[in-house]
Amino acid sequence: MNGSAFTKFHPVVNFIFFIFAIAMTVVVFHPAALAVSLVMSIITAVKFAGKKALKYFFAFPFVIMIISVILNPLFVHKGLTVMFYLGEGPVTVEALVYGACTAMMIGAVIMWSYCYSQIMTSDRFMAVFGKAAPSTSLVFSMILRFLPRAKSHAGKIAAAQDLLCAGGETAPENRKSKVRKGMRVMSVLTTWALENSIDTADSMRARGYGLAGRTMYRKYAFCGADIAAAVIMTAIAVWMFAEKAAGGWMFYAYPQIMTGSRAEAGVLSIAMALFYAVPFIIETWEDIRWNRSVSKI
Amino acid sequence: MDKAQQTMTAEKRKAKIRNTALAAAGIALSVATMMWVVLTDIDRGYLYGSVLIMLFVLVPFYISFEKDKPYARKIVLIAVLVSIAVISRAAFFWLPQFKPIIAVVIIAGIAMGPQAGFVVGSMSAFVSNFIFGQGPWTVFQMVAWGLIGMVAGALFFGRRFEKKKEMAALLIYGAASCFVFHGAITDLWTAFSLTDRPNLAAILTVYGTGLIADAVLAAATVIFLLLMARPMLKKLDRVIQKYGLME
Repeated sequence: MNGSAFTKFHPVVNFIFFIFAIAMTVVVFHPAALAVSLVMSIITAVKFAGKKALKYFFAFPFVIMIISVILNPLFVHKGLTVMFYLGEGPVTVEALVYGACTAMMIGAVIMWSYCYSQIMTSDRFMAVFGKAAPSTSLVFSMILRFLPRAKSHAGKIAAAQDLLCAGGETAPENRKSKVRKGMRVMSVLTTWALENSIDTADSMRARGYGLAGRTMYRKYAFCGADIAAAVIMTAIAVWMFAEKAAGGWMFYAYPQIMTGSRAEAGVLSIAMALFYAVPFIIETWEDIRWNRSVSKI
Repeated sequence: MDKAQQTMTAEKRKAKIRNTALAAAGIALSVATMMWVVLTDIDRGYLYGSVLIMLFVLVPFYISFEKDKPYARKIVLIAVLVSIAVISRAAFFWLPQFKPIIAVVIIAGIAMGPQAGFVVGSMSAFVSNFIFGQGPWTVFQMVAWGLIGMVAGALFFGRRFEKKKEMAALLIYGAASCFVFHGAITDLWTAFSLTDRPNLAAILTVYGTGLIADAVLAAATVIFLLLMARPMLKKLDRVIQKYGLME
């Protein structure tokens, strides 16, 4: 993950990509655009996280998508093309199409969020927000440091508790004793953490926390490629939003499904796919270059 | 000495004015957004509007947190409390929905006041979702849990629940917050994204299916508040007093 090419770009570029990726999915809301976004989000997730991304998709967003396809036509009876009647309410094609669109939107947004948490690691998040929100991002990075430390300490506490309470034998565990033991461990952990936090804070003060001129652990330079990537992505995104406002992405489900010209939507979809493919293309390009250089050796 | 104290109070007054202005701006923008959504009736306006309002709640809080320039000890204490909240959510992964995290957020708010309560609550939602899954609901959950911590701080800051009546009030608040804040706000996203315009039947179904989960969470919150509130507040008080943290 750390060696991937997309993360070699400045974190601000990565962040811009995800903000626009999610905003475009929600705002444009055209069947073609949603399909493009969903497919690209899955491809990108698989590229960055491997097969476990697919597992995640079918275990969680996919289920929500199916529910939303079913729920919309059951509750919304707008639309002229009636398929059949369920009790009193007509079930319409339009409501089904609209449900499919929301399903794709939900799936795509969840999968882009998944990619986000794969790519925007804590130091990259800090690089974006460290200057603008120093206290908040410091809290965030301290939490991330503290969690693994607390986890390993909790293991030690639990072992000590086993020894103290059961003489080294693990008592048969039921839910009640499990909860009780968990509570005890939490209590000890809290005392330890609070006492420890003061040490950390004092040490921070001694080293000049809060003074001007704080530096980052890793330096990210904003170079030419970053500017180019940021400009291209922003340009495509602004174009898409403008087209939505101007009617290029026209899509109404009710009362009857209505879309703008197919040719226009096709061109726009290709441009949009290009935007969504940015991480994938950069990553694949790097793979090709790597494979070539390997075969030469 | 006197001069130093004077500048302290002057700074405090300035911070108060700033925070009031921020809160007013957030509320004004939220109301304006609501009016815009209701009056213009654009396609999926409720979804956009609700996301915007969540941002108008979150951003002023974090600006005020940044502008107050919290000192190192306060920052570390907040970080520790969020970590404990996140661990408590992760530790009970084997019992779905039965998590102590809301109880921890409430206790943090009581010990450190409304502003820190909001930060602990919203940060807990943000960080623990790295384990439980990020998504569009994160923003809503951040606001919901932030408000739980903030209102807990506003209602109970400084109380220590020695009397049964006080404890009962705390437990009622804990249970209610799981429905009023957690259930209602977090599920808003689902309710608004399913249909193009809010549809009462769909919203009721979304909230209906969430009701059982919210009830389990409420039960967990009550039990954990009963078990943890007093001992944890005692620990926090000890540290806060020993090191003079909340001055």
